[in-house]
Amino acid sequence: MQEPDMTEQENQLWESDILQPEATRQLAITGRWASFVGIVYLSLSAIVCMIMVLIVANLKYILDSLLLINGLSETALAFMMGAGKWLFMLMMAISGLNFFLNGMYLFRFGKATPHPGFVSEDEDLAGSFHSLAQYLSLTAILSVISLVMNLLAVVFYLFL
Amino acid sequence: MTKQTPLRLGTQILLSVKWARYAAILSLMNLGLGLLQMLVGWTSGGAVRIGTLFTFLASAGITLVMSINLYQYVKYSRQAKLTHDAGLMGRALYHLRIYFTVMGILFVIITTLVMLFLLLGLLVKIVDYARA
Repeated sequence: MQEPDMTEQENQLWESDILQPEATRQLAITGRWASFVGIVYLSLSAIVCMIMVLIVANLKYILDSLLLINGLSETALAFMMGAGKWLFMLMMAISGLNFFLNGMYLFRFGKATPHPGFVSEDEDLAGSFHSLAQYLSLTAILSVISLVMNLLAVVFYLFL
Repeated sequence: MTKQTPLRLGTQILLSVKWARYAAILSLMNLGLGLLQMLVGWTSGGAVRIGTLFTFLASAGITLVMSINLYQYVKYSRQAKLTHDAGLMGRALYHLRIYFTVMGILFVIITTLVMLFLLLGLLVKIVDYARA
């Protein structure tokens, strides 16, 4: 990731008194919440992986049940057993990876912030803010993807 | 093997500020698009209208609070950098704290609801099994 340009002197001035006790206190609370959210994200990624494995392993049973309840055409059945299965796995893998990356970055951010029994050194804090930057960059990228997809949905609905 | 350059705290804070700015602006853009989608949904009429409005209002409220706080983090961090005022950095981190607190509370609510539904499902299954 590209770092913003700063002269050495600016950097030293900025770093000398950047985090006073009040800022450190706020950062400690932020870190606790971020760790919590990170753990939830990591759990979600594990759940998504489990769901993926369970559904793929029991696909035939699930399709048979659906066949009994709703009735499925031959084409739909063939699609679900073929390309549909791989498409589903791809979507689940992408969302699992997304949860995992978000969770990892947030957990790393929270872990290096000051907490009882751990006094953060400047280098720990720098690593922590680096993880925060990675999390925010992922959020920005996902927002762009969401924006494009929403825009396409609106265009599709209005003009097609 | 080359030695890795140690990360600088000030530079990393500014890097997070840069991405926070993009994330906040993009969230607000998504919110605008959400409003457009709500209006499109509104024109389709029927019972969908109330659902669409409710969903939009709920998500808009949360997105607004989170985006504004993320943007305040950007604003105060930049001012802290320009003025070398450590108090402003405290304020910036206060807004970052609110951003993560809102997210955390949302996750607590969602996790609790999922647990409740799972428990309910399990209870229904147990009652069915006991009846059979």
